Amino acid sequence: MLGFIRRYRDLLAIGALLAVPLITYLAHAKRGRDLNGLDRAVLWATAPIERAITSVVGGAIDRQQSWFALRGVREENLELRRENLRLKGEVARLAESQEENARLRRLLGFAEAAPAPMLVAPVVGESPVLNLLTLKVGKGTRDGVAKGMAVLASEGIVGRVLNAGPTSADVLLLSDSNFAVPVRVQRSRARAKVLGQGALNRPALVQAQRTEDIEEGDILVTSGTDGVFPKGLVVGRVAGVERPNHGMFLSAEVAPAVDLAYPDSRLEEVFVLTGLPGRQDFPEASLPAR
Amino acid sequence: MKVVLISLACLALVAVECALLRPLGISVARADVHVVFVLFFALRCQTLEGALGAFAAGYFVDVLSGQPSGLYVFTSVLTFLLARLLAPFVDVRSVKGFVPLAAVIDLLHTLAAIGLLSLASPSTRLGPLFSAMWPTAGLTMLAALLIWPLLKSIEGLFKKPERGLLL
Repeated sequence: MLGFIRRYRDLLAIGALLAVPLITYLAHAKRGRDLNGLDRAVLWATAPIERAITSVVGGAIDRQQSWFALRGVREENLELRRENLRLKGEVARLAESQEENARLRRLLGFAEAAPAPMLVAPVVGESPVLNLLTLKVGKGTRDGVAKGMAVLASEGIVGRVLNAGPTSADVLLLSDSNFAVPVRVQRSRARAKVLGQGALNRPALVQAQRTEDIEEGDILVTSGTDGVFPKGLVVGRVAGVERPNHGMFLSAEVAPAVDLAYPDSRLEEVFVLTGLPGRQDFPEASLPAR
Repeated sequence: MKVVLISLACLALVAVECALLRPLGISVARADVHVVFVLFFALRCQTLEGALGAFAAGYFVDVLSGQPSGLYVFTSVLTFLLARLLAPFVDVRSVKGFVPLAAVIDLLHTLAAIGLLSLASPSTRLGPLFSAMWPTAGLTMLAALLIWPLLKSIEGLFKKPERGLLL
């Protein structure tokens, strides 16, 4: 036996190098990745490289854009002053509305919902492979980021934390084909689900009944039923509604509120909702099945 | 030692790629940097140490992309073996042979990854991956061209000087 092992040592070792990852992958493909100590060490070691490059390249792009921007700065300055005046007026009007809203809430006996604590995280990288669309952000478990937390931008939802290392975390994007979020149409309150369709396609609106009041341009907001995203966050707008003659559901595309596809995307920072517990265990249907 | 150093270089370059993808605006295809390293392992290292290097390269991609464990580890070791089989038929002593072979090996690697994805998850949309296959191979060729001098210089560190006839 020992002679056999010694004779075919290399072959057996290579067989093991093939078999172990294959079995691990087939066993864990639907459950996602739980980072072990070695994974965390690798992420910890690479985070400074990514941060440094992002900072250097971002700085160079900023300088170049600043130089070009100087050419039209005078006209832009005037335009901004005008807009500033207009916005001041609008802020005053909104403050008045907020006061009125708070008063009405008190009257109705509703408690003002406390906003969930959020953490600002810089975007430092992107997945090197296409079959899982993720962003890497420069905050990790040391900052309170955990697997399953919701990730937002000021325009709407971005995705949710897939893995969190000590100093960085991977965020599964809304556009990835494994991403799903339950939504409501803001206008008609119709229920549906938004599913990512990969890098080349817009997300799809699914499980929306054919008879529901859904029109092109309708704003979709999170329904809050998944326990990850709070209720009422903007997901995107309905585009290209098709109502087939047969079947229960209509089909539509969704134009995401946050532009996630480069080179159009200008996403540099995101907010991680650290106040909500997030989901530690992804349901199988919404997991990266890879 | 050579394999360890080349593996660390692979880790660093995959991390660099992660950070550069957004500013460079590359959204429909990625260069498979690790495949270049796997090919080098197949051509320039002994079978077992090369396989270990390929294993490490695949592991780094798995970790940095957030993939479930094993996908790219398996495809990297498999690609290593395929490259090992193809190597005798191609002259890869210079960059002229290395770069086209990197593209061919990358196509095989992508096909292996797609096969494994469809096996584990039949509902996965494979169309975008097939359509990105050719641009990815092109970018990998470019990466191979750029990485070749680095790999040669690392290899040079471990070359023992040959003794002359009179010594």
